Amino acid sequence: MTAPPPATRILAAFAAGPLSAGNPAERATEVVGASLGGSLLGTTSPEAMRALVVFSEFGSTPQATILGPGRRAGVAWAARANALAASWVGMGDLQPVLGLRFGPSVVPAALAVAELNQLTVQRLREAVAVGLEVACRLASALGYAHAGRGWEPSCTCGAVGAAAAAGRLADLDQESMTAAIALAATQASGLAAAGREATSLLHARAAAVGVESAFLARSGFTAARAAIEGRRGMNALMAGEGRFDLLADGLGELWQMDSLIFNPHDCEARCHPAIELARRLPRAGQEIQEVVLEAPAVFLTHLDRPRPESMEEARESLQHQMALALLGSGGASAGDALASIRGRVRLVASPRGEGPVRLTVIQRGGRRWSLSAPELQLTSAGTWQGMPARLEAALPPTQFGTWHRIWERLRGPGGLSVASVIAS
Amino acid sequence: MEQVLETARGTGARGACPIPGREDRADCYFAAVATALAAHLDDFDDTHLESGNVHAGSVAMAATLGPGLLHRVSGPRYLAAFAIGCETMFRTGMALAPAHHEEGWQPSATVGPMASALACGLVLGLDRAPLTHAMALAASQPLGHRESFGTPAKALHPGLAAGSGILAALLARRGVEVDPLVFETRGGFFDALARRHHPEEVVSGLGQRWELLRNTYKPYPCGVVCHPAIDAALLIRQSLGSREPIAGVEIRCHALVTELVDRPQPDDGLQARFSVQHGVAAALLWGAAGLDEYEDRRVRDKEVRALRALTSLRVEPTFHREQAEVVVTLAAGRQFARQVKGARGSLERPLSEPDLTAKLEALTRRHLPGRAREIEAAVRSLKEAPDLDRLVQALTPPTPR
Repeated sequence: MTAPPPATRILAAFAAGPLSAGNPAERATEVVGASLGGSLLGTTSPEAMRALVVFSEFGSTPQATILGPGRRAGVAWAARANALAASWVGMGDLQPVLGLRFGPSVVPAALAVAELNQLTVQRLREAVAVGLEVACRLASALGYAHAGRGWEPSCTCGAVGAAAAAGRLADLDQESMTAAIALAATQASGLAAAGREATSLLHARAAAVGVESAFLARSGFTAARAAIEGRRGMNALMAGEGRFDLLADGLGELWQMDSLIFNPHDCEARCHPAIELARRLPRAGQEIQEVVLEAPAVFLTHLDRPRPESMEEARESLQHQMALALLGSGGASAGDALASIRGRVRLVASPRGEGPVRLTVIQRGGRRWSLSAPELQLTSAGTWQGMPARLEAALPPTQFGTWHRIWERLRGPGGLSVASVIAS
Repeated sequence: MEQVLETARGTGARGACPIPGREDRADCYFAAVATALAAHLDDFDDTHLESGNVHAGSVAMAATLGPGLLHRVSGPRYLAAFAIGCETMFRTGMALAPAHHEEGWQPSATVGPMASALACGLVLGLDRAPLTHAMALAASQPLGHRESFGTPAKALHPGLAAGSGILAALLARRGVEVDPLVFETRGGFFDALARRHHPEEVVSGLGQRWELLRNTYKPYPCGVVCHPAIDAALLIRQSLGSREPIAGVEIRCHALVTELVDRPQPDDGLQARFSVQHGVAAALLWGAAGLDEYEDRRVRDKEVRALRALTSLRVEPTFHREQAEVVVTLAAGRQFARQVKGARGSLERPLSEPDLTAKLEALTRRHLPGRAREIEAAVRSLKEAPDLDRLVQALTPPTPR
């Protein structure tokens, strides 16, 4: 049997090494902006604040800021709190094919370390770009099989990405970065079955794992050098079919994180690939006879809700989101039509229980259209342009003002310190 | 350990929770991480065999000591929480065994978070609903891959398990609620962690049959599957008499030995704990396989390296996991063979009270010299103690380190 490529060390070399001139700093800045907006928005939820209060009581040394309350806490606890809030509402970055969100783990980890170490916005951008890329590459390599085994890749791969970002800001060399990534990989966790509230807490955990792994590695703590690809490592136990070519090919030159979009739909992230497909199909309305959605089995397990009874359930119903997307504008108020199409959506587990997402719409008379996720291109609805307006609509005016002040400084030349930007 | 404490300081983890053997204190999360790490680092802690070698004591102690001290709980309440935490780990481990461990997980860290949440929640006085939410939240974050064996990360796993359980209990106390079906739902805890599992083991005879009474205590600080071979090697050592040159050593063993502890030339003490070759060589050469024999400098000793190089393993399909045979061939051609069918420290041959006292003395020698009897007395008095002060005092060094 051929030994797998040294994925852990490949990611570490990339994360600790020099970046090519073409690194997507602009996309990284946007993900930071979206994540900060999410953190501020999350703190308007009393439920999120219950957890956030617990985090803020830890780490009594004030090292980094918890956005919203403005309270300072230990660096890992601030990262944990901001990640929880960023994940709570579900507004932010989106990896469109797998339906994953890495910003809520990577950005708060990087932000807290950058603030503690008095680093510049430019360093933050680079670290976030690296952390997101590591998470995207790892998620691609683990593939649908990872989610198929019950794990929430946004949190598992997010933890490794957070370690890469935090480690870069802690100036780890390649050897220490290998340890940081390995420590995060062996702690990577988060069961998708735990539900929405738990998932936000798992995002929070991923951010803290990233910070703690980086600090442990900086102190000289070591871990398995083949933590991802080893016979008893992350891939073997949590996925099984590691496509390490997707992890390594073009790393540092072709940036997967540059294809992140900003979720334009107010629903569970894993509905997004299907929605994006549905929006590309002709509006057939009442002419629809059947909608067949092929998706990884794990999507169907948690998102198969043909008759949602609340807005919360509708956000996690593939049938509802399909009906909304196929009806287009006005779909939300078309009660009977919505229910009718929901009833015609048939969910089918993808062959071998994995991806990609594939949507087929069959009209009366037999005409059919079909699209699958790899054909997906970025739509204008998913670009950054719409995000400030969405945040303005969602945030209380004072919070939006805070966000806007920070955003204006973040997207500037990059020489300001992150601490001064946060203080603004 | 120093690196974990440095990380605690670096991340601002100040607090009042004790770390046994240290003057340092930290918040209850990092104190738990450090406590369980230290308890497991030497691979000398308690082991429950049928649950896939769950080491419950490190997690249960870490989950309860700091919160128990801060909340001024009584000794009996502390003991009850500790016992229930251990029992939860054993039973959940049994529900996943043996596939879970065989596939490559470290069971102490996968079943540890929920047990920690329950034990800490009991210390905090949580009632049924928040306890359920705490356990469900903790169960959603199992961790720990066997790829880490032979590195410090192996001992970090139970530490992190304990820490995440404490945090889950504190969140539940504040009213955080999560879906309690994460255990049994399709794609949930059991499905994700083992292809074959038996959830009924968790509740079978619960409250009547205590797996805690089937917990075992190691005589050697290394992977428990090494122990029968070390026993056999120690018996041969008694027969060898003079130091005649050894030409070869064959270890005949259960398949788990080659799967878990076949490491011919470990580089340091941590790796040596997963090297049956080192354990056997130490026993033959030095007549002991204790903490000293796993020190880095002893592992790198020229003579022991040479003896390990002469050692081979052979799987005996008929052997059970408590069985091993060691065959030593001398340069002169004579052979010595000893077979062991039940290792010291196993349920069949448990350590005696004097053995356990000697083990406590060995464990406390480095950081709490001369404290073994005081610690033992403090532990024995817990069933009537009004609080944990005496225990914590016994576990804390007298002067700043």
